[in-house]
Amino acid sequence: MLPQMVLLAATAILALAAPLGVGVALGFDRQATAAVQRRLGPPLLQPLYDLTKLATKVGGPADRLLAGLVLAQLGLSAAALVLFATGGDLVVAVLLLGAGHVMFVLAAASVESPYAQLGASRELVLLVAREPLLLLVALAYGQVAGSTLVREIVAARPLLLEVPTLGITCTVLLGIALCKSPWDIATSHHGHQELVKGSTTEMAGRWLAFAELGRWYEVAFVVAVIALAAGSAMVFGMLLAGLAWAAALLLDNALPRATWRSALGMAWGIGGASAAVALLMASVGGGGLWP
Amino acid sequence: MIGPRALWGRWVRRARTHSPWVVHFDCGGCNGCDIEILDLLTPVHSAERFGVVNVGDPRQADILLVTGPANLRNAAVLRTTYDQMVEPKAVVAIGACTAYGGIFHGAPNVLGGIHEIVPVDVHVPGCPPRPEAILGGILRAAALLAQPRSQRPAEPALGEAQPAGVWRARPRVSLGADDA
Repeated sequence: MLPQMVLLAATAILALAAPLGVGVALGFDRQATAAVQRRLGPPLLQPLYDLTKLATKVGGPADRLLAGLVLAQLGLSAAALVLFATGGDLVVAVLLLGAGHVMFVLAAASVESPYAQLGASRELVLLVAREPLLLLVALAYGQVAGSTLVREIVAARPLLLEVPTLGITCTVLLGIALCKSPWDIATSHHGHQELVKGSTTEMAGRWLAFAELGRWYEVAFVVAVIALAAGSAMVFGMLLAGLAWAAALLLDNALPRATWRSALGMAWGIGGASAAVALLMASVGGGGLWP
Repeated sequence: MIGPRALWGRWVRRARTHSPWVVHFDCGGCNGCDIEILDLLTPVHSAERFGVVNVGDPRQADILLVTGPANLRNAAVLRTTYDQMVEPKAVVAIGACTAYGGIFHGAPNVLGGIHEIVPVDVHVPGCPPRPEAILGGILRAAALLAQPRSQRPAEPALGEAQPAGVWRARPRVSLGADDA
């Protein structure tokens, strides 16, 4: 009984701490972007200020369906991270995350604003770009470790050495999770872009905060998947995630926004090819999920 | 010793006043002030260091930046934009036009200052004001965002706020047979 209680408490703490960590990381992200553009950036805690402000807005209009779907997105994304953290099945966690993303697409599409509709269809393109890649990564991990259970992948040989090309796929995945250019087609993460506020157009106050929090859980999940490549060496894993984040930041500042076709093409072309190579390497190595 | 409730209150006040997202509404002046706002948002002035983000959606904004004189054509749109914003919110009126109509004062379609339409919290004087002055106005308004408007201490505004809908009753000119 006691171990379960400890596990439950640890899970709850992690579920609360993950958004805080992502918030600070995003603050650093904004400072780094500002430095690249040779201006002073916002404070490190700026994303947490923004989230608190949104969450404590008084009232705010919300479509009942939209509100429910946003909450579903938040719950599913958090559940995916919790399942991951408790050593559950990586494939199931990936599918949970995908379901959360579907809820977000539905939330954006549940209102009549044309910008929200356009944002929803583009969010769908990003979902199509991301979900198969995440599944390929999970399968490649499983192929090396012989199981898709996170606790067994951690115990296996460090995946980084077995399937190094997955790093490229993971960078693409992080770029999509962080809405970095060229994958920022669905919502204007930065001021005054073509879609104004895209998929979040009709969200305000605490509902926007919940949607944002759901996104943060998605980012935390992708970061955790990257860190998993280092196996039980967690510090090294976080270093890997930092490297991938830096690469995504570089892409963001070096590449313009793409059309949805080229965004999809780049995700599948670069990320998909690297994942396929990784899967092939893992299969040649023997063992794995299938003989 | 400070309790968790007070600590949370302090954090919320800090978050609200350090994250002013602005939405810009141009009532139709000469666009001089609009250019200065754009200038303010460039890396040169780096308004983001104060948490200022330019959003295109009034629902997500905290501060309404208004330029140009209030006029018959867009009074309703300005009011709708203001009404769509979620409390706590503030209005910053930029330039002489928003104060009394500026050089357009007395024109047949001009109602005067924007305080005829929405409650103004901060006036930024100038024709046009410099970007630094606009940033100063935004930061002054950001300090007001700690509480919703209903809980703020009353202070005599430069242009006293009109109750919602009053502007409808007082168009100063008649533009045609329909208005008569």
